[in-house]
Amino acid sequence: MSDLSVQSAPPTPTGAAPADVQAPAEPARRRRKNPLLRALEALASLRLTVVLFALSLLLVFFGTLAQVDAGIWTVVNTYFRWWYVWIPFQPLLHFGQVFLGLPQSWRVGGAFPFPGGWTLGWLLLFNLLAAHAVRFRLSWKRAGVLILHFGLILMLVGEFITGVWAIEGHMVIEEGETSSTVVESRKVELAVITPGKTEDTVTAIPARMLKQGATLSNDELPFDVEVVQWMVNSRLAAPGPDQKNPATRGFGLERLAVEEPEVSGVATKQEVDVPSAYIKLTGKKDGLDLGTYLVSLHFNEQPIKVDGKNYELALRFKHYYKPYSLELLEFRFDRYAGTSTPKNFSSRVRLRDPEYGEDREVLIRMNEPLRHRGETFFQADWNKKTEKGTVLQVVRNPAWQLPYWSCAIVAFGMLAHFGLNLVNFLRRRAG
Amino acid sequence: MKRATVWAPLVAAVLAVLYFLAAMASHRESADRMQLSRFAGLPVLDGGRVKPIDSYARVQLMVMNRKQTYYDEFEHRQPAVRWMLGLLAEGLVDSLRSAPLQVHDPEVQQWLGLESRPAGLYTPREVLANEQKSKALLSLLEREERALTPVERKALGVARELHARAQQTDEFRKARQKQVAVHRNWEDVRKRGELSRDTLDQAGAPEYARVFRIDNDQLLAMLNLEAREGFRYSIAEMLGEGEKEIYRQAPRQDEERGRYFQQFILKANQARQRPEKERDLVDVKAVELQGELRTYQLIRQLDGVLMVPGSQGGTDGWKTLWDALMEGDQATNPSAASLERIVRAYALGDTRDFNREVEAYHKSLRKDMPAEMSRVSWELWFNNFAPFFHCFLLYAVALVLALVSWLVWHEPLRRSALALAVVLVVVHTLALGLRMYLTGRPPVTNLYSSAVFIGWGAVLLCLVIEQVFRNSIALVVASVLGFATMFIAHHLGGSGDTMEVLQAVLDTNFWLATHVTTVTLGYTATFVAGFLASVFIFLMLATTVRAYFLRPEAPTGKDAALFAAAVAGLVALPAGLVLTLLYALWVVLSDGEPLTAGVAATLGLPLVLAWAIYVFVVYRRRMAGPPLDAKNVELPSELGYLGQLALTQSSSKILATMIYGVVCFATLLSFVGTVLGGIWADQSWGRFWGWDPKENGALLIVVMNALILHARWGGMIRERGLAVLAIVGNMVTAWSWFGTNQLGVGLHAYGFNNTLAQGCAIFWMSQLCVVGLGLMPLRFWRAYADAAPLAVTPAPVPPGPRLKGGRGGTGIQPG
Repeated sequence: MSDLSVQSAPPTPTGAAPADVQAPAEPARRRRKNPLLRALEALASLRLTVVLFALSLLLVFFGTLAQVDAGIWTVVNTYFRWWYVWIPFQPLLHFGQVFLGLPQSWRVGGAFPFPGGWTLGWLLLFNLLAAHAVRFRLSWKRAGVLILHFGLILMLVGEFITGVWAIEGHMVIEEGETSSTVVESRKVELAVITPGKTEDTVTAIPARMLKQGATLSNDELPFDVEVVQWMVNSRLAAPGPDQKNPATRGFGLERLAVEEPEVSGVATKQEVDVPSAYIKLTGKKDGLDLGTYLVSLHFNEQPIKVDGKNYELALRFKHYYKPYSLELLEFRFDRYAGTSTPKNFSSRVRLRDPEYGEDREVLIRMNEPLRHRGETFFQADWNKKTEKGTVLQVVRNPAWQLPYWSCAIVAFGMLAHFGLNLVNFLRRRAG
Repeated sequence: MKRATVWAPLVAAVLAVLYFLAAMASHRESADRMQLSRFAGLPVLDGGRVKPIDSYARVQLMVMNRKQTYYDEFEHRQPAVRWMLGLLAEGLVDSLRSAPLQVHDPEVQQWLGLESRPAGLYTPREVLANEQKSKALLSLLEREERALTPVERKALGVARELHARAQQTDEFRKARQKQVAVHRNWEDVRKRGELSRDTLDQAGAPEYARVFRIDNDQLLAMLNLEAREGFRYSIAEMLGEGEKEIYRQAPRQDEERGRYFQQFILKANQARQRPEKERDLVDVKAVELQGELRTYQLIRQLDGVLMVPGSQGGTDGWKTLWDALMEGDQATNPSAASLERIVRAYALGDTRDFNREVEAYHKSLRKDMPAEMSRVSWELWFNNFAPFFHCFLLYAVALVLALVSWLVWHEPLRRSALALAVVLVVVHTLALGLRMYLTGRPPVTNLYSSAVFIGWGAVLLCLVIEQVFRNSIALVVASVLGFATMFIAHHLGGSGDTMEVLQAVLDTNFWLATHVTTVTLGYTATFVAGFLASVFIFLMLATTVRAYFLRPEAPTGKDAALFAAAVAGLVALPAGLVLTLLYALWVVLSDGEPLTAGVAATLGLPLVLAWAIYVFVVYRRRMAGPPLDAKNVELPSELGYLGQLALTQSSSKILATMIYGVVCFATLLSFVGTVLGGIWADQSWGRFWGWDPKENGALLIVVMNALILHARWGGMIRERGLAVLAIVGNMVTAWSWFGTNQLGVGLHAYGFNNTLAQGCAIFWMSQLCVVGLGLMPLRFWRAYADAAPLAVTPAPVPPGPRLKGGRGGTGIQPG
C-alpha cells in the first residue's frame, strides 16, 4: 500500500496507540542465528495474521453463498471442516443475479481452489501460539491481550472437541409412551435383535466394519456374518427375470439393491446415502449356509430363524439405549390467538432413572432444554399429523460449557485491554 | 459572535421541542364532528396481540396502497380508519340481507316450509325462498293482529324483523344519497357557505376509494385500466364502474369491464397454483393483488379482524363482528351490540349517536380490560405522533447544520446541530422506550426495530465522541446515520405490523436482551467507524487538492489525472450525500411514489451539472493559472474552503484515533454478541455454531474488525489504511444486516425486483467508490495544512480554524 512508501510524517504513535505487538520482537531479532527461531518468527508475523483473516473472510463469504445451492451440512463439511475446497463459480454468479440484476438464465461452470476451514484455523492457531511464544512478555499492558487470546484458544479447543466427540441423535416419543432409545441418524449399524421375554437383546455391528468380504463373528450369535457386497449408497429395484440376485432368502428375494454413487459435496439437493448390503449367514456349529440376505436402510427389521429361534435383522441408524427413560405426558403446540404463528412448543415428560433414583416431571420447551447425565434434550420437532408426539434432539457434548467460559474470558480480556487504552488516552488528553 | 454560540443552539433546541410538541398534540376532531380518532382507539385482536383498530387499518391500507391514508372519490385525503369504517358500514348494510333470522318455534318453521333446525337460525334468503309462503308471511303485516291464527301470530315477529331490516336498508340508502348530494356539490356548497363541514363526516363509499396500487403495466392491461399518476384504483374501477357513474345509487356492473375482472381472477388463480419458483413478475403481482382484494372483501364482510372481545379479557374468545352477528350475540354480548350501534350510526351519518356510542363503549372497555386499553391508547398516541418520521426530517436538518458548520459560522452552527441532535436523541429514546412498553420486549425484535435501534445507538455513540473531540465530525456522522436508519425503518415499516408477536424460538426476552442487543450494537459501532472513515477520506481529498495548488509547477500526465480524480471525489462525496438525502425525502414525503425520470432529473441533474462544471473549472484553474508565487500562498477564492477542510497533522491523527477507538468498541460488541448467539443456539437446539448465513454474517464482522486491529498493530496500515478498511467494514456489516436475507429471496425466479437487494448493491457501490478514492496514490495527502506548503514557500498556511480538534481548539500534540 502506498501508505507505507510515503512517509513525510514520522509514524509517531498517536494518543491511543495500542499495545503494539511489534515492539517486543526487537530483542528476538538480534539473536538471529537460530533458523528455528527465525521460522517461528515468520510464523508469528502479524502480516500472516492479517492475510489469514482476509482469507477467512472470503471463505466464510463463499461458504455462505454456497448454501444457496448446496445443503448446509455439505457446505460445512466441504468448506469449513476440510483442508481445502473447490469453490464453484456458480454461487458467485448467483450473487450477481440477486444484487446486480444479472440475467437469471446465466450459468457458469468451473471452480477454483481455496484453503479450507481446517487449514486456516490451524494456521491461525499456530500463528497465535508462535506470536505469544516469540513476544511473550508478562506486563499489565499486555495482560488483556493474553487473556483474550487464551479465551479464543479455549473456544477453538471446544469446537474441536465438539467436532470429534459430540454425538447428536433424536428421540421420538408419542404421548403416553416411554422411550429410552436415542437414534443417531448420521451413523449406520447392522443390528441382530434377539427377542426376549421382557427385553430384546441387540447385537450391533457398526457400518465401518461391514467391508466387502469381511466375516464377522460374535459369541452372542449362533451364526457368522459374511459381507458379500456393501453399498454405501443404493436404491431398490424390482428384480428382473434375467438378473442375478445374490439374495437367497428374506426381503432380498423381492427387491434388488442397485449401487448408486455416493452423495457428493456438490450435489444440489441435500441428500443422504442410503446404504445396503448382501450378507451371507453361516451357522456356527455346523457351518450350514443359512442363506444370503439383503439388508438395507430402506427396509424395516426382517425376521430370520436359526436353530428354531427367531431373530430380527436390520441395517438401521445407530441406536443408543439409555439406562433411563422418558415418558411423554403431554405435547403442546400453542399458537398466538387468532393466528397460526407458533407461540410455544413444549413436552411435559416424566424422567425415570433407577440408577440415580430419579423420578420427576420435566417441562422441555424452546430455549429450555433438559440436561441429564451429560446429555441434553431439546424440543426439536413434533408429530405433524397428530400433534401428540414429540421429537427431542439429544446431544452429548463434553465441551458444551467451553463457549460460555471462553466468551466470558475473551470479553474480560478485551474490556481490560481496550479499557486500559481508553483510560490512558483520556488521561493524556486531559493532561 | 460569542453570544451566538449561546443563543443559536438555544433557538435550535426550542424550535425542535416546539416542533415535537406540535406533532404530539392530539389530533381530535372538533366536538361537533364524528370522533373518528376515538373510534380509532377501539381494540382489535390481530396477529396475536390486542391493538387499536387504527393500527390494523393503517397496516392493511399500507399493504394495498403503500400509504396510511387514501383519497376518496371527492379527492379528499382520509385517514385509514375512515376507510375501515366505510367498509364496516357497507358490511353491516349487507348483513341485513344475510344475517340469520331467529325462527325458534317448530310450528312456524313448518308453516314457512323450512327444514327443522334446533337453533332456529335461517338466512332471510332461506325464509323467503318459497314465493308463495313469503308472500303470505309479508301479508301478515297488513292484517289485523286479532284476525291471525296462532301460528300466524307467532310468525308475525319474523315478518316484522324482515320489515324492519328493509326499512333500515332504505334509511342507509337515503343517508348515502344525501351524502353523495352534498359531496357532489361540495365546491358550490362551500362557496355559498351553506353547509358546515360536519356534513362531510360520512365520506364517500369505500368501493370508490382509490386504495389499490397497481403499478404493473401488464396487470393494468389485464384489468383494462389506464395508467395514471400514483397508480391507485378503486374496486369500482376494477369491477367496471365508469367514473361518471360514480354517483349512481346502486352500482351497476359494466358487462365489458366485469369480464376483464373475471379474467384477472382466473389468471391470479393460475399463478397461485404455480410453484413459487416458476412465477414471473406478473404472476407475483397478480397473486399479491388477489390477496389484497381478499383482505378488502373480508373486512367488508365484517370478517377480516377479531373485533369483539371475549368476556374474560386477554386474548381469548375474540370474535369477528360477523361471527358475533351471525350467532345473535347482540343480545348477550354488550361489546357486539355496541360495535353494531357504532357502525350503524356511522352508516346513517348520525354524528351524535356515533360519538355517544363510541364513548360508552370506551368506558365499558376501560372497566373490563384496563391493562390492554392502556396499551391500546398509547399505541394510538404513538401512531398519531409518528416520532420516527419526525426524527427522520429533523436528522436531515441537523445534518445540514453540521455540514455547514465545517465551512462558516463554525461554533454556533456546531452547537445548534448538537442541541438539535440532543433533542432528537431524547425523542428517539422515548419512542424506543414506548415501543418496548407496547411490545413488552427488548428493543430489537425484527428488522424494523433493528434499524431504529442502530440509529439510536449510532447517534448516542456519536454524541459521546463529539463531546470528546468537539469538531462536528461525529455530529455529521450522527445525523447521517440517524437519517439513513430512519429511512430504512420507514421502508421496512411498509410491509406490515412492526410490533408483531414473536415466533416460538424467539420468544425469550433474556436472549433478545443480551445477544440481539449486543450484536446490533456491534453493527452500530462498525457503521459509525465506517462513516467516520468516509469523512476522513473526504478531508484527505481536500488536503490533497490543496497541496496540488500550493505546488509551483502544474501537474502533468498521471499527476494531472490524479488531481482531477481528487477534485471530482471531493465534490462528488457531498453531492452524493445531498442527492441521497433529497431522494430519501422525496420517497418518504411523496408516500412511496416511485421516482419518475422527470423528478429524478429535477433532483439530480442540476447538482450533477454543477458538479461537473465545478470540477472542470477547478481543473482548468490549476492547469492554466500561473503558479502561485512564494509570497502569495492564498488559494483561489473558489477553493477557499479547502484551507478549512484540509487535515492538519493533528486532526488527521485525531480522526484516526476516533476511528480506531470505535473499531475496538465494535470488535468487543460484535464478538460478545456473536458468541452469545452461539450460546443461545446451544441452549435452543444444542449446536453452538451452525454456519448458517446470519451467523456467518456476524462472524464476518468480528473477523473484519479483528483484521483492522491486527493490521494496525502490525504497522501494515496507518491513518489512511485504517479509514479504507473501516469502510470495507461498512460493506461487510451491510451484507450481514441485509445482504444475507436477500439470498433466499433471490431463489425466486422473479429475481431483481427487490428494493432491499438494490439498496444493498447501491450502498456497496458507493462504499467501493469511497474506497477507490481512498486508495488513489495521493502523493501529497500528507502535505498537512499546518505543515509548510510543498513549494519552497516560507510562509506556512494558517491552520484550518476547525477540525483541529482538541478541547477549546488547542489541539493535541502528537507524541
